[in-house]
Amino acid sequence: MLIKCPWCGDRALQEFSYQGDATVQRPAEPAEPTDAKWDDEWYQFVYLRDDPKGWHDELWQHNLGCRKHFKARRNTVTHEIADTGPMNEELKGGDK
Amino acid sequence: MVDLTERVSALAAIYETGTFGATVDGGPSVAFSERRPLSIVHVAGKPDDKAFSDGVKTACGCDLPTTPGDIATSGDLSLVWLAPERWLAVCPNRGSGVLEAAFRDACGDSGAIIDVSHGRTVIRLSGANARTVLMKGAPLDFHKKVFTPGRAAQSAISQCGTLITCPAEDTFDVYVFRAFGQHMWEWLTDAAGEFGYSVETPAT
Amino acid sequence: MSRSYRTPEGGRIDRSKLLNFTFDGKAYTGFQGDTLASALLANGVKLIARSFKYHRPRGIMSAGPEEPCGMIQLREGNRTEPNIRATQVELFDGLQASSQNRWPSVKWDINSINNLFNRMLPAGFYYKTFMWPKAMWMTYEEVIRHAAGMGRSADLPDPDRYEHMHAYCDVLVAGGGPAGLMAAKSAAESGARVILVDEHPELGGHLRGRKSKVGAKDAMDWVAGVRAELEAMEDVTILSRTTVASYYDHNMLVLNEHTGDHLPTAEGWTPRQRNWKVWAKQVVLATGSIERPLVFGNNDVPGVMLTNAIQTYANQYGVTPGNNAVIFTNNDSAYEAVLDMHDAGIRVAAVVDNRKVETAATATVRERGIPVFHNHVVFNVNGNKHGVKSVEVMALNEAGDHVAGSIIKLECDVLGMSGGWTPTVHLFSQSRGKLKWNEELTTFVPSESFQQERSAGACNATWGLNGCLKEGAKAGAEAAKAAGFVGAKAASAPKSDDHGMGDIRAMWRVPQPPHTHLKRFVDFQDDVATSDVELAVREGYTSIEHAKRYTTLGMGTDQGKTSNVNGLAIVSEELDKPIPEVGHTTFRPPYTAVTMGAITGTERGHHFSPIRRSPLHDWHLNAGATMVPAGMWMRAQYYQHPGEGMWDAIYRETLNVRNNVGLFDVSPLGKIDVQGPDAAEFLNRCYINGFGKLAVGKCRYGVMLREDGMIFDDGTTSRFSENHFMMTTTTAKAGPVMQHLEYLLDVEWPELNVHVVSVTEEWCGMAVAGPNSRELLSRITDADVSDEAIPFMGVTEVDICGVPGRIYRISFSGELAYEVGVPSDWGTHVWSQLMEKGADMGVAPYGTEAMGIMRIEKGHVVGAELNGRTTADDLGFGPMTSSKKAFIGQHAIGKPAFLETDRKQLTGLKSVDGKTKIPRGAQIVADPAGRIPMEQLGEVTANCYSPSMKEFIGLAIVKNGRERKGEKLWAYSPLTNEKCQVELVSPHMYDPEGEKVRG
Repeated sequence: MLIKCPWCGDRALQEFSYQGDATVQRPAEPAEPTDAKWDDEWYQFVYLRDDPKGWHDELWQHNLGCRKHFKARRNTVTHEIADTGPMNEELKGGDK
Repeated sequence: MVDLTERVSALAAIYETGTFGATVDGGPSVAFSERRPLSIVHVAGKPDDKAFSDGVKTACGCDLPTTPGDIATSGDLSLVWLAPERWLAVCPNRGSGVLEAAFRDACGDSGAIIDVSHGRTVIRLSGANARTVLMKGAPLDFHKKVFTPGRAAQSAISQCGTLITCPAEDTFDVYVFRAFGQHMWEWLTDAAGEFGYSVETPAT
Repeated sequence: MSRSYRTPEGGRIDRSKLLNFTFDGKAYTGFQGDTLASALLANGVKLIARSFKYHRPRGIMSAGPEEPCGMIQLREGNRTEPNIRATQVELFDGLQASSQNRWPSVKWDINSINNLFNRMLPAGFYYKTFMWPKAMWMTYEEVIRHAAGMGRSADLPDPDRYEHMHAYCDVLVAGGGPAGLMAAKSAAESGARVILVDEHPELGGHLRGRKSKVGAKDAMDWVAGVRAELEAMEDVTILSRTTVASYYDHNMLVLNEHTGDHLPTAEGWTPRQRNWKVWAKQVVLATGSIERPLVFGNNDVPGVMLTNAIQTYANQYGVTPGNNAVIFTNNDSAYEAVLDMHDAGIRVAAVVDNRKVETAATATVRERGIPVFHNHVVFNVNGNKHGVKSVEVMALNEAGDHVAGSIIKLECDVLGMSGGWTPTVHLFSQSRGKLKWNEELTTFVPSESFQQERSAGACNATWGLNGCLKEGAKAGAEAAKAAGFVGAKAASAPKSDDHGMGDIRAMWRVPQPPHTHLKRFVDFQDDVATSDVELAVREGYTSIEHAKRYTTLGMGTDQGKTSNVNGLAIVSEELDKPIPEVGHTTFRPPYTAVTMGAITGTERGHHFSPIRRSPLHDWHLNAGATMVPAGMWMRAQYYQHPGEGMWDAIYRETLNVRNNVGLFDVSPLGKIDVQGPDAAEFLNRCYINGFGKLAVGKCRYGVMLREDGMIFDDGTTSRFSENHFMMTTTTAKAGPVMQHLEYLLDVEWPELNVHVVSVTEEWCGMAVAGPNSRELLSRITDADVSDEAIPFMGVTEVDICGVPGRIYRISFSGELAYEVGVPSDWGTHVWSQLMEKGADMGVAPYGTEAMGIMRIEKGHVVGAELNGRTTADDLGFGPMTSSKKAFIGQHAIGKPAFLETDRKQLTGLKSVDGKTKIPRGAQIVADPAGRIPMEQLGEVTANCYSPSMKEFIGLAIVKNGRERKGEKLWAYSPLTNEKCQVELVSPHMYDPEGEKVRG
């Protein structure tokens, strides 16, 4: 595979490490630690991950390159990568 | 008495000048040397922060290269792009802490400056087959028209993270963490064996 | 002396270079340019191997990578290799080869008795027969495997050199035949970077084995001309003797270059093989096609060959595989071969063509007086291990599904068969391209591409030479255009000879006379016959993928190159479903086998894994240290003096720290520089305890959790200024912690202005530990090292032996101790000074073993306790946990499971009788004599003999351990049958009040 680091450009897969699902959001710090909704959010964040078939926004790190984390929209079936970008940018392409 | 300015290289135990590898018509086509002693400082900060970019210019005389993989130079100093907010300043040894202090003084709180002069081993290889040696190790495009003088890239050779720069035509510097220095030297010289290679005296 | 099967002249061999070789110990000669297969055929050797299952005699069937039968054991000793296709071995002087799958010899093979009982060995026989009783399978398997042979792999280290290579290009062309050459030429002329790959030593593809003309030139002269043109271009790389083994995602291809396999041995620096990874913007597949066998009775007798193979042996190698041939075909392509054979002096007794109608090609052989039997088939071969004796021919009935009339017996010693051609779509299919069935050509052809590739020539079912040249040129230009070379033009293709395949009359199973049960092989390598495929379908294995696995059809090292289409067509006939509905099995990489050596490359032996060396590495070696790996680092384990045992050395080193002063190399400890206005806030969020109020010039021990509340890592962090800290990590977690911090800054808290940089390698770290450490330190620095100047957990930047350094007042040993840090290039200098200045005091280095003992005595945790299942409270860090700030993992630690009273907690252990060692890795139980299974109360994480306390001690994590102090339990290891009664004590066993560290 060849992954496009948003800064370094197209690089070989072995320079990267997969860092998980880019769609999960770390919940905000607790306002009230006993809040059940907050509890559930944390449970979801720590333990639950989807296993989507098809397009998926993922987090990768160019750990043997510039070491930056970035997002990649990858098809889990075909390994196509529609788009990559810095954390603060929206990804395009795929069927999303 | 030990000469206190003398720094001991990570390659001290194995460094031997001479000609090695296969005997090839026309002689060795790769030359190796260790670049040392160097002053190396890791510079981090936000390029759009004027205090920082001006400070860098004051400290080293060149503008921050902001294009990924670019190297800016000023005299004997190179400023290598590492990441969106990170650079490596490299020059012949200016004495302990001197380069670091120059950046700290000039950038103040706008930059995160740290001396890594002793933390890297820098191996220079040059010659007609230097590219081919690197092609054996790193999954980068080393084509003459792509990896040109003034360019740098980080990648991995033999499982070690490396920074590879191209200071001049057919000349490359391979930066590795000091602890991997001996391994990288052995790996690269082994890869050059088929071409025949020479080992020159260390120089900056 | 058998007669030579070499033509008097001709062929692309160098008759002036005679090469000696042996096969099964017998000496033969061949010429430079031969393959082992051509040289064996030239010497009249027909029997090459015994087949895999039935041990039937087999010979050479093809002249290329598709060879299913002629597999041999190549070379001897440490270079021996099994399952090598004789058709792809370039002959060299001194080559040694032997047949495989035979015992005691290929001619007298005892297991060929399987052949007599072959009706008892149908598909699935092993599955059905040897699965009961279940426990016996292992025994059966051993006997079966022995009988099956499969060749031997070397049991000595591989002496050869292997390398990897990485490359990028605009256009990669797979295959150097006419289409590939034109593609490479067109792409290269546009300025694109081109890599042209071909598996043979010589480019040309099928042209090597034919007598075609390209324009006015002999085809091979034209090939040489194009090669020269390409070689003159700077951005063209030609890799011959190189196979495109695999086509992966994003146009990444793996090539296997045979740099040294054609040499007697690849000596010196020449690698035997190179494994290339190539990232190509565009790919042109010009992989050619493979002739299909026909499926008739005893079609595996040595001497039954693919027609184009006979033609190739005659034209390329000047070898006549027989004197008297019969050709059996269902298409026109065989007729060209017949003419070449005839030219080479082979008598062609007859052409048997299953088609009803004569074609233009027929006339060309009739002109030479060669009889052609139309609407006839060869249904049986008579022969044995010595080869073909005769073939039996019958006419077909009107429908073509039965044979009719009387048997015509034709004497011959070689039979050529041609069942049409199968495009080599392996790479296309690996790239996820979709195939479609072409009824006219009776084969699967490339349809929709998935990646950036295009097929040209025979692999795209374009048969004539003109078509291949044109299509190749067009594909090369299109590929270059797609890669950004907009001006690319198709190079003009010279008008050439053109032989097509004509109409094919598909006949997947050649009928046989009633009540005849001849073995008709589909997959020669795996010994799969029509009866096996029929049985699989009858037993319900109707999916092609299931039928493949049940029969093993196409599962050999040849990946079914000659058998796939025939096999799936037979399944389709049995199911009475059209072939497209049956589909095809998946083509998987590699195209041909790749050695483990090529995959491994240089990563073996000395370079198996990089070694990380501390700045003091060589000092340790010179001091006689025994080194031990710790991750990639090598660390000094202990320094044995002459006459000392290992434990003597370890206890001596330990006591020298407890009573005097010792030195320990702590350089491998991870160090991360943390800077920025938000550095303190960042550390607060990372650690369970607070760092905001840490004073400049002080350090603090911190514990980090994962988001799930378990401990991630620990270490001390020092503050050098308001915004500048240095964190230390454990040696093992240095990388993961760095990645974790970068993740937090990049992804979770981009608003924090903090920069982290690994500075592990910048510093040489030396622990100076023991009651005399302060005295020793005062001898190497002019700075004030008094308790007031450097109090416990104080940090100071000072000159040490004339170099700038840092002194940290921290202790892992529990003694008065310091860590000295100096820039790495000065490490040896300072360490040597410490040794020299402390010589009169008896300073001595200590290794990881002594360090391990002292940390157990003090109850300091390491990886054994920080095992990913322990919480801060479990290990006694509960009181450190801040309630005033948020930190990673905080949300989890209030959960019920974290508060349960029977959580396993860190506890010290002492051997009750003082004499029995606490067994390593033991379980903590109430009574080892109790009934099994018994309740596991905990586990021993560390154990040692404490030379200071003179008793056996250990650490454990035990259910509710903190509340059980004084209880006597058992450390029990059923595995080693060791047990020791232990008393649970505080983990702080040595100097529990911590007076020494603060001394």
